[in-house]
Amino acid sequence: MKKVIIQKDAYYDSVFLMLTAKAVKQTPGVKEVFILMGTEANLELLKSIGLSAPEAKDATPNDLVIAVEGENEALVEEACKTASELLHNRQRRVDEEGDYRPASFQTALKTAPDANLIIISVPGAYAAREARRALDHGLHVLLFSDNVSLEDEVQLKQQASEKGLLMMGPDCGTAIINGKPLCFANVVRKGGIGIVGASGSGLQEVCCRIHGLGGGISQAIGTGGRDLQVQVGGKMMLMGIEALKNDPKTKVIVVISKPPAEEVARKVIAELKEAEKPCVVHFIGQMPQEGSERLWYAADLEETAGMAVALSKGGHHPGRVLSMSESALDEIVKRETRRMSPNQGYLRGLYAGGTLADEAMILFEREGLEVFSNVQTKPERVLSNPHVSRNHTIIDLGEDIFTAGRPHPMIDPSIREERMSKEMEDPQVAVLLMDFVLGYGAHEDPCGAMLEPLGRAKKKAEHGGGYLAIVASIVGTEGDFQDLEDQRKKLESVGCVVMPSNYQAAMLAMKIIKAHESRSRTVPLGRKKR
Amino acid sequence: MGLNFTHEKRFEAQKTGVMVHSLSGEGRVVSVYARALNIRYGNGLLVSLIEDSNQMTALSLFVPSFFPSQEVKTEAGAPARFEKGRLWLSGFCIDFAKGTSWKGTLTPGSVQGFSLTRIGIFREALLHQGKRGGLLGLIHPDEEQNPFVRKASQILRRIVQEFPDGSCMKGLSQLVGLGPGLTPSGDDFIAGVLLGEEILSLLTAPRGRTQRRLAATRIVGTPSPRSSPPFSGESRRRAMAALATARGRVRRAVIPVRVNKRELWHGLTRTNDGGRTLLFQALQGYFPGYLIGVVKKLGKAQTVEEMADAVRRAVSHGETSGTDALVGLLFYLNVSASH
Repeated sequence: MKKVIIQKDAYYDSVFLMLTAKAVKQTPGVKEVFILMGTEANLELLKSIGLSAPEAKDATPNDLVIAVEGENEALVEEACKTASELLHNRQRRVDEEGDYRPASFQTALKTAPDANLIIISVPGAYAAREARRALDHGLHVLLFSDNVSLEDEVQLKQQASEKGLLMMGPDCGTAIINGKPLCFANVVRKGGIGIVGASGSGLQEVCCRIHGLGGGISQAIGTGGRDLQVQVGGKMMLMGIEALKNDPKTKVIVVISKPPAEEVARKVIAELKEAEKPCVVHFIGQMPQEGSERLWYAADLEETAGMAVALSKGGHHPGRVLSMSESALDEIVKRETRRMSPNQGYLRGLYAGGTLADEAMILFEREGLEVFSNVQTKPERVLSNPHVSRNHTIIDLGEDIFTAGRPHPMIDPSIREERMSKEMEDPQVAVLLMDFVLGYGAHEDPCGAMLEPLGRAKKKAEHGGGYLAIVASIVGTEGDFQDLEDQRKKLESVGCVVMPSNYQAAMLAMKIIKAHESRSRTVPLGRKKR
Repeated sequence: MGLNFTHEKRFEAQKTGVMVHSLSGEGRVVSVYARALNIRYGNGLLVSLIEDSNQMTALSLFVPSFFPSQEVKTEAGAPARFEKGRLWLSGFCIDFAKGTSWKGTLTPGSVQGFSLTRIGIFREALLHQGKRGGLLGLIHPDEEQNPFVRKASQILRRIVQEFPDGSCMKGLSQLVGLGPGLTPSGDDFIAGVLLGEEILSLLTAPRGRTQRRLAATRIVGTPSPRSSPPFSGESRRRAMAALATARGRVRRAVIPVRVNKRELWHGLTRTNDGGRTLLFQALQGYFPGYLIGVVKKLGKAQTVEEMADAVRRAVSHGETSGTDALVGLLFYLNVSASH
C-alpha cells in the first residue's frame, strides 16, 4: 500500500526532512518513507523506486511531497498523519517561540540588554574572540564551542578571573545556574547541593543521581574538561568553589573532575578545606583518600551523589547501597549468561557520555580486565583504529572522530546504531554496555530510537547460537521531557537490563563477563596476565 | 497591491547585492525566518533580506537593523514592491540605493595560490568536516545507501564516461532539483561545479584580450529585470542559453573541462525557488559569499590546518548546502585534473 500527499509551498531544511522521514519509518509495518520537495528529479527518483502515486503529478518544485509505503492502508494513513504532525509541530514551534537567534554579538546584546550571562556556540576558530568580547562587556560566559586552543583558554580564564566573571568552558556542555538548565542538562529538584564539574556527562550523572536520591541542586557550574590541567591551573574550579562558598542556597559543595594535575588538585583540596560547608570530591580515575569531618572523597559518580545527599540532610553516607540485593543480581547474571555460547566473552561499551565511558573503563581495569578504547590513557590500549573494536572495548562515541560533520550521539542515535551493527559482526561479543542521556538538548526518544537495532542485535546473536546481554543506564529524571520511566520500559521491552546508574551498570556487565568466563572455562579473553 | 505607504518604518541596507540594484516591480513574501526574509520576485527568484553578512549573495540585502526590531511584523503572502532603490513592504520600507554594492564574483586575486595539487588535502578535509545528509556520500562510504546519493552517483558516472575528450561536461542538468530540502543538494552541487569552472578559467586565462572579452560577456549577461522579470518567458531563457554558448566559445581555448550551461539554463524551471535562485546567479558567475570566501582561503592556506579551517567554515553554511557545493567543486577539480 502506497500513499503520496502534497503540502503546497512548504519549506523545510533537508536534514530536518530526512530525520522526520527516518522517525516515521520507525513505525512497525511502515516499509519506506520519503519527504522531499516536488522537483522533477525527486519525483523521478520516487518513481524509480516504486513510490510514486497519481497525486504526485500535482506537485510543483515548491511543494513538499510525503510518500509512504506500508503493509496496509491504516498503517500508511497513520504514518502520513504522523509525518504531517511532526512537520506542523516544527512550524508551530518556530511561529510561537519566534526562534530568534541573533547572528552577532551586537544584536544579541541589543535583544537582551539586561543579560549577564552569554552562551557562545560558534566554530572554534571564532569562539575565543567572541568570548573575549563578552568578558569585555562584563558578561559571564558559557563557552559551548570546542576546538579552542589551550593558550586561548588560559588567557580567557585569566581575563575572567581578573573581572570576577565565570568563564565556563571551552567545551562546556552542561550547567544549571540559579535553577536554569543550560545546554545539555536535566530537570532536577532545587536544593542545597552546589557542584563544580570539569566533566559534562559526569555533571549530569551526579545531578540526576542526587535528584533520584531525594536531594536537590543549587548550582551546577561546568568548567570545561581542561580546567584542572597545569596550564589553566584550575582557575574556574577555584572560582566556582569560591562562588558556592558564598552562595547562601548552597549547603554542600561537590567537586568532580577528570584526573587533575597533582599541583592543581592540591590547590583545589586546600580551597575545599577552607570551606565552612561540607564538601565531597571525586577525581575520576583516582582512588579516594581518607577524608575528614568536612571533606569527603568519593570513589565514583554514584557515590559522590550519595555522599552529597547524605551530607545535605545532615547525616553521613552509609556506604555503598546497591539498588538490588546480591541474590537478585546473581539471578540476573545467571539468566543473562545461561544461553551464551562458549565462544562469546567480550564486552563492548558504546557510550554517548565521555565521562561515563571513562568511569566504566576505569572500573573494569580496577577489576583486572584489559580494556581497549579511543579514550584510553594507557598508550598500549589505545585503539589503533577507533572504528574497529578489539577484545574488551569501550568507546566514547562523542569524540571528534565520530561526530565530524554530524550531531553528537546524545542528539543523533544513528552513530551508535551504526557502530552496534559493526560490533554484532563479531560473534565473540557477549555484553553490550550503554548509557542513554535524557534532558534538554538530547534526542527526544533516545531509547525508543534504539529499540529496533537492539532487537536486531539480540536476534543476530541468537542466530549465531549465542545470547547477547545488554546492560544500560539512563541519565535522566522523571521531569525530563523524554519521560524516564517510559524510556526504561522501552529498553526492558527488548530484553535490556536497566540499572539506575552508570556505576551499577558497569559492575553488572563485569559480573556477567566474569561469570560467563568462569562457566565456559575458555581461554581468558583479554584478562590481564598475573 | 493594498500596500500601506503611510507611517512606514524605514531601514537602510548596509550591503546591496549587485543584482538587486536593477530590480523593479512586484513580489511576494514567501518565508520569514528569525534571521532572513525571502521575497519571491518576478516568476521565481528569491530576493533575501539577511541579518548575517556571511550569507550575502548577488540577490540579497544585508539589513541587520531590521531583524532585532520588534516593530516590524510581516508574514508569508504579504506583497512587496521594488521601486527606485527601495523595497516597499506593508508598513515599512528598505532603502538599498545607498548600501555598498556587493558583487559576489571571483577575481584573479581571489584565486591566487589556488592549486590542483592540493585536491587530496581538500578531499580529506571535506571527508572529515562535511555534513552528512546531502551528497557527501559521493565521497563518503558510510553514506552510499542514501537514495539521492545513489541517483547522483549514477548520473555523474555517466557524465564522466561520456566526455572522454574532456571537451564539455554534459548531463549535469539531471541533478537539478535532486534532494529533499530548501535548496536541493543537486543544485548546490552544480553551483560548486560552476565555481570550479570559474576558478580554473581565472587561473588559466591569459591576461589581456581574452580576459577583457570574458568580462564583457559577464556584463552583457547581467540580467536586467527592470525591463523584463527573470524567467518571464521562453525567449529570455533562450537568450540566456545563447549567451552561455557565446561565453563558452570564448572560454573554450583556456578551460580544460567546460560545463554545458545551455542545458542548465533550460533546466532551471525544474527546481524550486531556492535552487533556481542559486543556479541563476552561479550560471552568470555570481556565487554566495561563503563560497567566494572558501576559495580565497583555500588559495591562501599555507598548512593543512588552514585548509581544514576553510572547509569547516564553508560546510557550516546551511544544513548541507556548504558540503554539497564543496563536493561539486571537488568533483569538477578531480575531473579537470584527470584531463
